[in-house]
Amino acid sequence: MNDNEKATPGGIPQDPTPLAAKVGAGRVAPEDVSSLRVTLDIEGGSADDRYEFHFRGSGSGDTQVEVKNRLRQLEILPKFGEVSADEMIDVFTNLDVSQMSVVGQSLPPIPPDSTVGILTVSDGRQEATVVFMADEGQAKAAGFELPEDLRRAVDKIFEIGARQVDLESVRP
Amino acid sequence: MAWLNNKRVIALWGNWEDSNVWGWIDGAWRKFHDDNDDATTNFAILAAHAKGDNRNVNVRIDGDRVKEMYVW
Repeated sequence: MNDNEKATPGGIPQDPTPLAAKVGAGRVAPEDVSSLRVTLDIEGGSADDRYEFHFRGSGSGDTQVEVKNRLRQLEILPKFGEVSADEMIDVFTNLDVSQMSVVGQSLPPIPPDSTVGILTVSDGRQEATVVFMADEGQAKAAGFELPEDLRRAVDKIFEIGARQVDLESVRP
Repeated sequence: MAWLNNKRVIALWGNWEDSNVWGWIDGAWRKFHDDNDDATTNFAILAAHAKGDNRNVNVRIDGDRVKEMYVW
């Protein structure tokens, strides 16, 4: 039988690795929050319409946002801020480590000049990363869709980022 | 080619098709080498022991297939 015609496993087991137990699945243990970190780096476009967004956030609420968008003639150097721990918990509860791994395996070939995001969550010992197509239009054209909970995490980061730099939106 | 060291086998899956066994290792389903039926079976045995005894494994991934495995 052709290998491509064979069935593949469909379920995702409970992953007991320490990081997977700390974030995602709609809950974060309060004692773990302060050790958690999340970063979102998005870059893409050609020279004329270059877009960059860089976000750093900790479980304690410290954040850093940087935005460059040539189409909007926007360049915001790294700006530090602080949000409530609850807002960061909203991000961490949607970062399912197992799902991040699965998305990485199903990523389609990314066309040149696409806007690509790298989302990473860490507890200081382990980290999980997912690469995804960050421009909704480009992602749809390529047949890529970010799972709902990871999309919620990214949306929340954009929301925090926009507020921190006093813009209505910082999306690509 | 990459080695994943000191990982746990969290789950195993197989079906009726020849050389079609997968293990959940390091946060993803990894398919065991499937060009030789013997190799697939050998990896399944090793992985089942690792899972059953809660032992760490080192696996070499090449071309999206598990090509080599140590059970410690």
